[in-house]
Amino acid sequence: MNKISSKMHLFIIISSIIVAIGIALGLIFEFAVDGQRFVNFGGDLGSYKAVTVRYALADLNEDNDFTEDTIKETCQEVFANNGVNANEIFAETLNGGEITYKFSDSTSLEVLEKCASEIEVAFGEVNMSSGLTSVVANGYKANLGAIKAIVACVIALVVVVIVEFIYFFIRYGLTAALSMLVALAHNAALFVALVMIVRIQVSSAIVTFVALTVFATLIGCAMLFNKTRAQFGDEQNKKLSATEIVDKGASQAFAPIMAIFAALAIAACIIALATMLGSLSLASLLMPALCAVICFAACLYGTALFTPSVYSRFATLARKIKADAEAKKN
Amino acid sequence: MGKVKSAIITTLLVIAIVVLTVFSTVSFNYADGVKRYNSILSSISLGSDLTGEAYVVLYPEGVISTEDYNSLTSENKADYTQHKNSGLYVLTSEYSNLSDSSLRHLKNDVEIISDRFDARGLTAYSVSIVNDYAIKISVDSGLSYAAYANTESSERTSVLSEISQTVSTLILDGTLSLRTEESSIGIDYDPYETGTYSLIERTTNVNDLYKNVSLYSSAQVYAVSMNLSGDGKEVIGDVTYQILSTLAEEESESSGSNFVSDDVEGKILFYVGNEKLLDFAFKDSFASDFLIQTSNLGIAKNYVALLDSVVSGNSVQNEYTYDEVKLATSSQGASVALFLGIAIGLIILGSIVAFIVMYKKLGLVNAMMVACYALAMICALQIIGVTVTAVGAICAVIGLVLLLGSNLAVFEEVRKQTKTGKTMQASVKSGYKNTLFGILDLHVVALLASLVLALIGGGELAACGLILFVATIASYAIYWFTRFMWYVVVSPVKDKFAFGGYTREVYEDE
Repeated sequence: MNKISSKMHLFIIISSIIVAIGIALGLIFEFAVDGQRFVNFGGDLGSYKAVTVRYALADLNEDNDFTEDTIKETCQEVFANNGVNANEIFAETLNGGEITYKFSDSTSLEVLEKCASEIEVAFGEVNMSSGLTSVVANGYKANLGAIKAIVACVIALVVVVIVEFIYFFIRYGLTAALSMLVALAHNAALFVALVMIVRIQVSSAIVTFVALTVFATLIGCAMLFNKTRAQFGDEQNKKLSATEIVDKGASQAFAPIMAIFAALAIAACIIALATMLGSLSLASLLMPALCAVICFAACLYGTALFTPSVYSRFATLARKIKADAEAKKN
Repeated sequence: MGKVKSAIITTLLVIAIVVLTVFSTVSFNYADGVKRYNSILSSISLGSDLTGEAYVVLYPEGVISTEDYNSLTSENKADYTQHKNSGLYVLTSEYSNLSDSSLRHLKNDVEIISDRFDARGLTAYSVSIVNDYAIKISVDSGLSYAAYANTESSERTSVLSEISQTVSTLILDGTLSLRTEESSIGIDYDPYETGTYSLIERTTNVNDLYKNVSLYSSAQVYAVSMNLSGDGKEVIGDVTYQILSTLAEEESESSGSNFVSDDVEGKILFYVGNEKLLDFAFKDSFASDFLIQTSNLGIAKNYVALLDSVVSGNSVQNEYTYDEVKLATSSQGASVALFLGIAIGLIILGSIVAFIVMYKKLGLVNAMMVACYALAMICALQIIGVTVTAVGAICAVIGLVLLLGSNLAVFEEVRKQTKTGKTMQASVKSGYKNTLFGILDLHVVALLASLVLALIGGGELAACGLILFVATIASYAIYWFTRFMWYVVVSPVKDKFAFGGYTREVYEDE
């Protein structure tokens, strides 16, 4: 037995451990940490809290030091003093502006109400002359739009898998199509588990990344099965076992698969770094870029290492069944 | 190919790339200093993660915001009670009556409104409950970078107006009714006090008259298609006949002659609650499905989403008010779109440099192809009008990597072939032949998956599927264009091996 195929059990153990850690962490956060969920859902997917500061024509009140910048500075100071972190969203209104500070659902509403009171105090009484019109803390529950996005994604993925299974079956045979199914399930599970482990705050875009993981896995599988099919068709390999042939193909496919996924992961890192530099804040790190790095890393491991080891077993089994059938015939 | 031909083709392509790059990426003011040219890149519609979302808070009757409360006189303030220290104030008289059933109404309304936004087919939206008694709706603003960066742009105004129109339509409460302004035709039944008369008997459930309501679009004409049930066709036949005959009688009475004009035009008004949505004019009675034309696609989609929900029996219970739709900055930072653009620029630059280092002048051919891919994607995304999110941008990068991977596979295969002692021409031919099916397979697999995602996935997923679909086609087309340009550029070069940084295996007997 050669390198990759012989390590199937090792790969299964590694993958199982990662998935188990992900599930365990998810369960801990779901049941043991107040306000947290299985996956660290962000504002647009689950419930969240927010402090909204509204002001009227703040920039025109520079005489009494009441500007948009002073509001932001004061708010950030109050939040820092109370030990809470927020994402800042600014919106223009008819008379002035509105800054919404979004917090995770686990943040205590009492603490945010205290923050709102402190902001009010910092600017004196809430009245029109100071420019500040209201500071309120609100809780936002259940995002129904995102749930529908998840349902649509699941349906789309099921159809993708069926269509691609038929294509792989016609192009590369049943064993490759079955291996592709295992690879898809493995990589998708690995991606979700890694997201749960690193606890990135995810939005509804997470469902798109699951689809992207499936997409990348399909590309990786196509590259792998192309090489192994060429090896199976090579007259020189007739005397080799299925495992050895798959290993030969897998080692040839390793470099291009590695090149593609490494290039994609590097590209995602560049995007993550640039957006982080742009906002000068780790808190504002672009979630999609991090998810992309995890997605391509999972696909690289899953497609270049795990899938060939599984495929070699399927190919061996298929050869055995074929040989048995021929023996029976004779 | 001769030197002249090669030079002409190469020069033309380079000029085309440079010109298109300028128009695609550079925005500038016209000489008059008033008008501005926005580059193609800055005109692409961007998602809420890059240019922020548009949002609005809906307040049911008896509930007001802190701001509205603060603007009340102290006498009126006494009528309100703050709900759980939140930003909501509820009429004290109502507050004691706010029971579980009211909350259930709100939750039910949220589900119905969410379903309507889903049917409207927006790239992204969310509907959430604010402190038990208000609803927040957020949607993708779909602003381009030009409009996002320039807060005074007319695009912002039109986006705000479009979103406001969508929200005001999709939150309408009440049921569907078919009405007329003519007292002589209608039945005196008006629960919503609209000053009009019902055309249908109170005992008839209007919802039973419809199978569904769908969108009709053909050659820039958009309409709401009213698909009637068997009973519906019968009823609409009776109603239209009755309207026309009554109007004709009235006309002949007023003119004092027995002549009945063919030009009598009947009209049916479609109300949801107390809001007139559409009016439908007709000159002949009919007992079939019918179309009502609208002024644009957005309005047609709004009406279809609302009417289909209403005829399915999903009526919003509460009447909601809102002050204004707001456009917010991205929660990832106001300049995240700019830095994402810079990052993608760096990725493109990095890939160009890497190929030049690896393949010398052949790397320059690849650089032209990368530029072609980038320009093709920019133009395609602008023409299709798809909303690009950060994930969508990553999908475009996947297409680029697919192209670079394909070129890398071919270039390496050619290198392998040159080491067998073949001529450059024979090596290129063999290289492309050997990698033909592998690269084709890769693109077919990508194309199938992206097509399914684009057609079946909803919202952002569908947008990403579409981007991947376009990227895959662009990648494969430009992959073959690379071969053509390699042939064109290398033709006049004497040392074709050195051009690509290849070395030919020289045998002793040569």
